[in-house]
Amino acid sequence: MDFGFILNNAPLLMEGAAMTVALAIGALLGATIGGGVVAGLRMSRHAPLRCVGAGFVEIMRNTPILVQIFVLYFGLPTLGVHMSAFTSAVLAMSLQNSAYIGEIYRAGLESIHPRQREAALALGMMPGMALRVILLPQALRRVLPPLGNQFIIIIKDTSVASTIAVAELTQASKLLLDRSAAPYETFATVALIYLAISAGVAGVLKLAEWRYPVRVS
Amino acid sequence: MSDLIPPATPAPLVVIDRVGKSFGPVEVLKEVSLTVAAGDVLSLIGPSGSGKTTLLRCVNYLETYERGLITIAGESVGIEQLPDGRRRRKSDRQIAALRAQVGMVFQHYNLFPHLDVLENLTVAPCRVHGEALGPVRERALALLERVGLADKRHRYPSELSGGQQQRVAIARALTMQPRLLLLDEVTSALDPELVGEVLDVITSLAADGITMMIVTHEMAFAREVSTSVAFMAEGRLIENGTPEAIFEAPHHERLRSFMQRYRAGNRL
Repeated sequence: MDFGFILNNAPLLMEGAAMTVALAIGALLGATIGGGVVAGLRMSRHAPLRCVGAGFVEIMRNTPILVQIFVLYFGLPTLGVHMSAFTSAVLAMSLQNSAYIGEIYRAGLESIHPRQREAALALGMMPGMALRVILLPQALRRVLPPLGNQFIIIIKDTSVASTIAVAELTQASKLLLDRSAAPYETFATVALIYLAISAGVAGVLKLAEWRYPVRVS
Repeated sequence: MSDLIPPATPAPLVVIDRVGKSFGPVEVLKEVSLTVAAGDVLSLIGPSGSGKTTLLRCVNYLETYERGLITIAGESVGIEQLPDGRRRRKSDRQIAALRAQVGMVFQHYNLFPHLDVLENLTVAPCRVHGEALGPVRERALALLERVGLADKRHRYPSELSGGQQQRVAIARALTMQPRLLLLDEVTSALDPELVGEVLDVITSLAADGITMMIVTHEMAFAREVSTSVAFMAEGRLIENGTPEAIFEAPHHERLRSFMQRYRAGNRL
């Protein structure tokens, strides 16, 4: 066991961890917002929009994230579209997780009884206000647990970006491995760092669940 | 009394004029016409499936209707009649503005479970009318006092009994200061021992001259609280008149048999 080696290379790991966090923040934001768009399409009054939403979900969830990243990073340049490895990774993860999170939002909204919307409309609210003030606050509370799952999956999936040489945590650990013969210490440390980041996000969500409990009447 | 000068009768607040509605091939409302004057309490009675709840829900356009016209204070509900005779749905904004003037209380209360009692009352006046929270709060607390629930203002709906929730729902509708209150079978989901507390609140509103349209199966209550009663069956308005006329001297055979069955059921 040689953790002195790890300590000596702490800056490399910390930079990798910072990049992992940056990827995760980008993908979390993209997917949280994109999920709203997907849910909006899936629940639209207009059939063509519902079809677009359903098609997007099926394509995104039925192809591997690694392939999606490769399509963006290696495939698009042949069409003249170039983007950095970081952008490709964030975009691919945002798109795929928009599909998952959109379905989570939809499940939450559809679990709210139509009478809630009716009561809001009867009080003179416009449909958009009823959604914002009455339906979404209830739906989001109900979906905090699956949303937390998905957030953690996103954090862990950022490791896939190492395949296109984004200098994130997993990539850093591979570099360390080349410099030493300490695979156990290296990957154990990296696992702990992932655990810390994920546990932090999970903790925030637990806090949110406590602060915004689900109530039924 | 002079025959020359007719008594001043103000235009009715609600005019339902030959309203018809179909669900697919089924005609659920057939040429229903009714008026409600300001201060009136109209009870709609009749067997299940007679269309009384559908009619009530047309009055604030929670249900659409295809034929005829409903107006509230001269303003048409939900649709506008174009000069060429075609009908067009009003904008969401126009429909919402009308609903803001018409309170509704539902069979299943439909309180907002994520908001506490006071927030349930204040959310619509603040958000819809943009009123400041302070005065709305004052009004809401006075209404909670009136329905006997001021001490529950920081409770959540799930912490209240059915009767309490329904009283909150009545207060919520009134906090919007509507010119008309619609009550849709508001005691049907309640345990029998909780019905009285809700009916008492409605009776006191009637005494205050609040205009109401009430769909109910509580005949004794309808008779006591109403200024007029309308009996519906199979989507038609069969007979309407004063409570005395409807309950004591019903003309129509359909209404007579309805009353007989009701009396038999209640051994009156």
